[in-house]
Amino acid sequence: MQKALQKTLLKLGVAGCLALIVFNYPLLSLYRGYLGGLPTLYVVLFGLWLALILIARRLADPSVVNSFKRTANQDFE
Amino acid sequence: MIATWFVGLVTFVYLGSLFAVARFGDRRADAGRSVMTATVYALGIAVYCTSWTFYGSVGRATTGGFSFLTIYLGPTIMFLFAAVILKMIRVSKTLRLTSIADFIAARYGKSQLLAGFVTVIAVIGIIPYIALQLKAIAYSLKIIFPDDPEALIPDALEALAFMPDSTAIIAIILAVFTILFGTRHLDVTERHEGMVLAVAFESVFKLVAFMAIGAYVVWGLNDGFIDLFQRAEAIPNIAKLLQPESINFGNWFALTLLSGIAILMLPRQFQITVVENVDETHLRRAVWLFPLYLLLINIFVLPIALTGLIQFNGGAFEADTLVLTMPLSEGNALMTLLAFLGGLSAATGMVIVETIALATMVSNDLVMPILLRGRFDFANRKDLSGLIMLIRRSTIVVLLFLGYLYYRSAGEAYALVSIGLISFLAVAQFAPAMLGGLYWKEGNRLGAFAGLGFGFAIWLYTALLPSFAKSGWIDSGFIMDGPWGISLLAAHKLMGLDSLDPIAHTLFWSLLFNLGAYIVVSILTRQEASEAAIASQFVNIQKAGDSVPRIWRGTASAEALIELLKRFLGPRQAQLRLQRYASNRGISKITNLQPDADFVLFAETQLAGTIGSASAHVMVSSVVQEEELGLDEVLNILDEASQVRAHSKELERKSNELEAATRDLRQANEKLMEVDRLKDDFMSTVTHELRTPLTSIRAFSEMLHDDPEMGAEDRTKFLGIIVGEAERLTRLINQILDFAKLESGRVDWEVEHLDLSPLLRATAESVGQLFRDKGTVFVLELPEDQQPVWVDVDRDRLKQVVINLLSNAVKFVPPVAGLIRMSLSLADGYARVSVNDNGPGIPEAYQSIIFERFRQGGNTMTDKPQGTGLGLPISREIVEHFGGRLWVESLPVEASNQDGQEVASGSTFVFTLPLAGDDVLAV
Repeated sequence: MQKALQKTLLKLGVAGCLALIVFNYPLLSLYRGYLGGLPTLYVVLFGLWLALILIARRLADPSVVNSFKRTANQDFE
Repeated sequence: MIATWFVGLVTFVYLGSLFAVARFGDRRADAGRSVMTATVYALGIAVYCTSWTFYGSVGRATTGGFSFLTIYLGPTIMFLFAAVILKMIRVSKTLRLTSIADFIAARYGKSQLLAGFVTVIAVIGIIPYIALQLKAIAYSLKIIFPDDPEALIPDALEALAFMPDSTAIIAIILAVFTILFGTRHLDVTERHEGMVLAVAFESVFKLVAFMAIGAYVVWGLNDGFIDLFQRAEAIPNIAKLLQPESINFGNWFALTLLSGIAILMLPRQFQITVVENVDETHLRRAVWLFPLYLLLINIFVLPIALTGLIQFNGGAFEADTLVLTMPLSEGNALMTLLAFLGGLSAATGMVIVETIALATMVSNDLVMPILLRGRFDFANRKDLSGLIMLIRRSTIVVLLFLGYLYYRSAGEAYALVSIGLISFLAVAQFAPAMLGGLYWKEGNRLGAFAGLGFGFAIWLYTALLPSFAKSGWIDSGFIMDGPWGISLLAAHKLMGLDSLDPIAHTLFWSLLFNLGAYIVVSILTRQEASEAAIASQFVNIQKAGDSVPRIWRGTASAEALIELLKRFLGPRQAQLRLQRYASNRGISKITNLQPDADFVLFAETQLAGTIGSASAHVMVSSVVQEEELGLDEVLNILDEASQVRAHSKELERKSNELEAATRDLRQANEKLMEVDRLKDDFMSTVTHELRTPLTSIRAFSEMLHDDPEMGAEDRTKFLGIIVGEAERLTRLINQILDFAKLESGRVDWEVEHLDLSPLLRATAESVGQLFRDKGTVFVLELPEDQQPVWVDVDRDRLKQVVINLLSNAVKFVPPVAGLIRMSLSLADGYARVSVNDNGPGIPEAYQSIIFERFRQGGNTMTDKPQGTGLGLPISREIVEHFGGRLWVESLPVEASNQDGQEVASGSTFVFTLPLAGDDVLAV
């Protein structure tokens, strides 16, 4: 159990390190112009942010991920 | 536009609902039905988003484009380093720590002085931040009612000389709320569930309000995102804000780092994330839900800012209040009211939690140590619980009053506007001592003092004083030119570093000196013994958990400790906890408790929850006589403890290994039992096979013996049968012996270089009689080119294999129109011999079984055995010995019955042998 937790924390930490790279120079300086009428930087920043959140949810809170497979009246709190 | 009375009504209904929600939460908690779910916890952490977020983000976006996002990306990333937060929670729970000052003080030897120093920094850094929230409330009222900002106060009361303004009234309501729901328990570590639920409610409210305004701006004032961004693109000054060129990436990184640190170090964040955490697993939800909250509350910031810039292009406008002024200028009363209440909820949530956190720090780490010095006869009172509560509640009032006073004094000054990030910088000074203390055992008290001292001094000089100077309170010359004209000391260009903005500049220098001093002084000075013990506990909390070594030696009196607990916790609460402690140790009466190290540390930990760890240590020390332990002694104890832990781990590992070995043994035993059953089956088969010819031999021999008159014809016939049965018996015994030899590896192989074709032909001829007896047609197919197929094998052994396969085939072909086909071919350097029959075939389930020793196709428990079950295993052993393979390909009749017609493709036994020398090249 403890090992599984350590593994989850490690994976989250790695995701955090990657996020530090992704949300900083030089990568952010690459997103110029517009994408589908929206500023590319706006789309990329919020898109990557959302992706990071989904990754964190999958890694840290599998009960929520699995909850979609369960019946609606079950309480996961 | 909106009736004054209506705004007043809605404001007080909103504040009243906060009380109702908090009351509901507390009642549920009292009834044992906690409301502290993982979602409530994560939403509580969103108290991070204050009015500075609600109003200020849009303001920042109008000048800095995307730069406002750094304040939210930092916390998002920091929450991915959940290991750090989890460690903070575990340490705090184990030691019943109540605040960030308590945390740092506890780590560095429970130093009251250090706790006081941290508290002073927090108060100086945070009071202006509270003032900023009050200012936001006042400002929003001023915008809604420009002619009468005091519209919330009835005219009749306004005339009263002592009547405070609207902001003060809201501050008073918040003070009442904080006192009611934030100081319900004397023990700070007991959760304030109602308060957290109310904060979570406020978080939801401000999010919904902000998103509603965002949606209104995007789809109400524009035709969606694309339309808005196209309009922005058309104005060069605005369009450039949307491109990466507008970002100063040095500042971007600095602000991300700063906000990432602040999310852990802000007193209110520590209060919710660490102190109010009731279940570690709730962190799993917070890791993603809190960042999701931040994303949602920011998604409309830029669109609102751009719309404001487009609307007021070239004209003057107040960017920080666009959220409120935009719907107001459009005459949308509902959105205006929502914006006002959203801003109010963002401000009130922050004020409530921050005040509780600061009040705990001030009362435990500033007021309590002064009172405990003895001058006030404080320590000798019988029951101090009521007085402690009074102190904490008074502190709340004083802190809110100070915040209000700062707001009134500063007014429109720069000092207030810029205070958000300046407060972040102040609390960031805790990071080296706090995080270093969690991961570096050698970090010591003097190091922490030095680091905090340097960091605070640089913060004061490069951040706070310049904000005062820009407000016109002091001379501003030192900011750019340095004091006395020494440019290297210029507050915003220390050592000539002028490429960073003031916030990044302060962060760089303060953290550099803070961290440097912490490390250097910690290395150069020696840790005290008591510090070493607690440092080890902090650093190893994940491994050791509650099983930390009790490092204390001295003499104590149980009565004195019990009396101390009663005085500070109140007699009832103390009795309850002592009883629980005693019963956990199997002691029925608390008067029978032994004053050992465990009990002393228990008493200290219980007191820590009420008066802070530093004061608790002082109080316990006043009633016990502690013997000084040397550093070496403490280190020895810690070594022993870690050895015990290592042994325990070793034992656990060995236990796991034993379990695995037991599992293997159990499996081996099951296999043995199966082999035993097979052996019994084999014995029974062999016995049966042996008995049948023996019975026959014996019966015919007896007949010959008993009837000397028997005719010559009968006699010959019987003797023939006897000879035949004897041969069968011999064959059987030979096969058993053969197998035993193969098994034990005692076979003498006589390998020779021979051509397979003649060998197959000769072998087939030797069993020709079998085919003729059963009327079976036998076909031998050899390579058409008549070339020899050379292999290196033992001739007799290979013949044995072929005979075995052919005789098996004969057994199973139908009595009429039986057909056996043996063919030889070459492929991939191997000779391939296949024996095909048109018998019933072998079901797939038996295709591997028939090659196992003593196993035959069909159910061995019910079917009559067809042989010894050794023929095929022996054949496979032989073929494999020469580097070949033997297998069966079969499509049983049942499987080929799809069209209702029986198509018996039978079985095909195939074996391969590697070609010898030249033939390999030829193929």
